[in-house]
Amino acid sequence: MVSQYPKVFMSMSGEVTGTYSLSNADYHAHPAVSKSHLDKVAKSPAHYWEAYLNPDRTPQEPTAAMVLGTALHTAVLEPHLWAEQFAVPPHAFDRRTKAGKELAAAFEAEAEGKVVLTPDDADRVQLMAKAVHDHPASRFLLNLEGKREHSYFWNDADTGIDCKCRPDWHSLDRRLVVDIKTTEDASPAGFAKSVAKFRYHVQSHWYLRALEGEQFLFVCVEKTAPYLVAVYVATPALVAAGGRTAEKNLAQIAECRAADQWPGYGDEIQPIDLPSWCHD
Amino acid sequence: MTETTAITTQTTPTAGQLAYLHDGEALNHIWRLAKFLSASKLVPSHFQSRPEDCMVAVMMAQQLGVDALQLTQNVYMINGRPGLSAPFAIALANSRGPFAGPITWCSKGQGDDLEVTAQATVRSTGERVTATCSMLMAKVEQWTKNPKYRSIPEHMLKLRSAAWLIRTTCPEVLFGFYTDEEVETMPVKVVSGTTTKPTQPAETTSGSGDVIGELNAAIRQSVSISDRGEPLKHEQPEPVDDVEVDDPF
Repeated sequence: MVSQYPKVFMSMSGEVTGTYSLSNADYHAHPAVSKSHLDKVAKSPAHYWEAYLNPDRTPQEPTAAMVLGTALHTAVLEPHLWAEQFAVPPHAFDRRTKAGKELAAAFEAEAEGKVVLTPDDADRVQLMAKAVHDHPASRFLLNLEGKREHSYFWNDADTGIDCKCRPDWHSLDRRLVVDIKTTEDASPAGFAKSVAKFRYHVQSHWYLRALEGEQFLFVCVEKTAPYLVAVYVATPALVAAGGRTAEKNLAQIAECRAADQWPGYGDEIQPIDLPSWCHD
Repeated sequence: MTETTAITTQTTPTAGQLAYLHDGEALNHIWRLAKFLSASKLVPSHFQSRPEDCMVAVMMAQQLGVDALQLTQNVYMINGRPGLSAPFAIALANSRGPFAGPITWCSKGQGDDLEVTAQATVRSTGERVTATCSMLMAKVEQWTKNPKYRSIPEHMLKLRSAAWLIRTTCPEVLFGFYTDEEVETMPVKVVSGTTTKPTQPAETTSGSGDVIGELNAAIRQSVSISDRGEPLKHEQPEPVDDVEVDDPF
């Protein structure tokens, strides 16, 4: 897969070197560093090595939350791909009977190569997608002219590392970059915690940097009824904080690559204390 | 083409109409009127349940010498500024401006070369006055951020050139108010440092407000002119496993 990318991508110019309409699988197969890579090295270089460099690594199965997120992205952004990517059994099969076994076999054949969703989850995804389309701000944004699931590649001039990102949606002029988030709590306080926990500030910087964009917007949709939606714009301070973190993570990847050392949490005894928020 | 929007107008506001400035009773009357308007479903949604905004609209209507209900149908708040609908502004100029007849237009060119000229004749002097707007101008001034400049460019240039003609020839007609089109594309500040090569976006507290303010104004406008639809009606699926709070996408 990697060989199909043009050589220009491998330049070390430090400029944006490519924008491609790739499949999700091809994008993820590409070895350039994404925001997820930064998350891994932030956990520890050993986690990064295990996830991306270990030749004997076992592929990670997507979690239920990841499957739901993928399904929502497809339902909202690429509904024309729904049928070829997802399969939903019409009902539970009674495999104790011959008829039930035949129905189950027929469904399994039809679902070959697709992600299987339970009927409940499929309904949930459709309701979430409807909520996104019904919300004035998200509807307005997604109805603007823009590109969906477009892949961007560049080379970081400071470290020489090839980088990539794949925004959910961005306006044609690239000023606005939108990412859809499924969450348990889309309230301002609740989603702010998610930003910190899932390092969305790093993502906002990463994407704006790649596209030379101006505004990064989160379309947040809750996973349970009433499937509330909120749209937030990343503040400049949040983006800048993400930039500082991204720079640190990228430098650590470069350092580990240069030394071919991928340490864990440290080999020596270290002091441990309560987290700062837990102090009296 | 002529604008046919009919409006009920007076030429200038009278002292009586501005009495609320020094007469408490007149002010109370306007406030009651504003509350009635804000309770009505006949005013656009951005005025509903907002008596303060309705009150300002009533004052604007008095200043412009038009009917208050009519004004609420033709004024939008965009990025903190009131903007009159362009057809309304044209109708005002046609009915009370200094022109001998209505504003008319002529177009030439196509695509990126399209130019539209708004023209009228000054009644008192017979002078022909014009204002020309082109797609080149639209691009340079970034009016084309509005997708209608791609879908219905000639119509948009007609509105823009007419607004320009009114503003330059008879600004007294609009009392300094802008059209919604003009307000939408007024210059905005942008976050500095993001237009050069990919690098750290600048940490600044300014910049996002104006762009997002514009977007929010457009969103409010889109809500006011579209059906919001029925509330979601659905059965509650089984709860999902609470293994992870969010997904990493």
